[in-house]
Amino acid sequence: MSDRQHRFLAWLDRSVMWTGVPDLATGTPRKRHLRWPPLLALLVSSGGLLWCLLHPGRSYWIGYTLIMVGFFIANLMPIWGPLRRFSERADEFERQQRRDSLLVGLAAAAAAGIGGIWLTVGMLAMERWPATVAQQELTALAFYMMALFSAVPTLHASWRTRPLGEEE
Amino acid sequence: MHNRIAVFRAEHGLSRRQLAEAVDVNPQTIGYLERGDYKPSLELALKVAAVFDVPVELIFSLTPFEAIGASLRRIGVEQ
Repeated sequence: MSDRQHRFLAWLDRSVMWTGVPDLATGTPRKRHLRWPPLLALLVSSGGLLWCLLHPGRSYWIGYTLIMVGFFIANLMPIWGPLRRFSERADEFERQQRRDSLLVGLAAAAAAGIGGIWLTVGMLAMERWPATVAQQELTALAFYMMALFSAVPTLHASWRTRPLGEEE
Repeated sequence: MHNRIAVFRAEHGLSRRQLAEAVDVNPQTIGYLERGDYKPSLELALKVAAVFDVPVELIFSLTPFEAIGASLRRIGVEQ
């Protein structure tokens, strides 16, 4: 094997290790600060929800697609984010971090749920939305809330602490 | 809360991982403790103090610790 092939294979190995998939396969997922991906998920899904609210008619699917894209990205956050799952062993710092961040995520999802439900009720009461549109909006809201609950805890935990250096 | 974990760790030649194993936490938690990003529980503080075999107030304090250089100068003047 030539030196160039060897370097290429080594680069491929490093690339695969960088994704974290091998660690995930061994059951010890690598935890790291994810500051921007959850923000992206929230921006995309919030844009989608806004689109659904402003265009409840035939172009509703554009907003719905954006929410689903955000929902998909958000669902990857608990896998690679800094928070340990309940099935994993966690020390006291990690337990506190998980508790605080999940509480913030729950509060965000609850606030969106309360706001969204009251908006839907108001629009129905004022006869601005027919029942089919209200159903569509509530479906979009449900996926938006799930995206919030997946992305906000990772976002909170990632911004609350700065990443540590090698031997900082 | 202020602490001198890094000073004691350097003095005892312990890596962050070795100290973490001794007190049964993740090495990153020691890093966050040293940087002051996390306030330890009483149990963890006592465990850390036990590793270095010193009273807990020598490692943790509610007020900033005197700089080592200032301490040495003061001791030198007193002697």
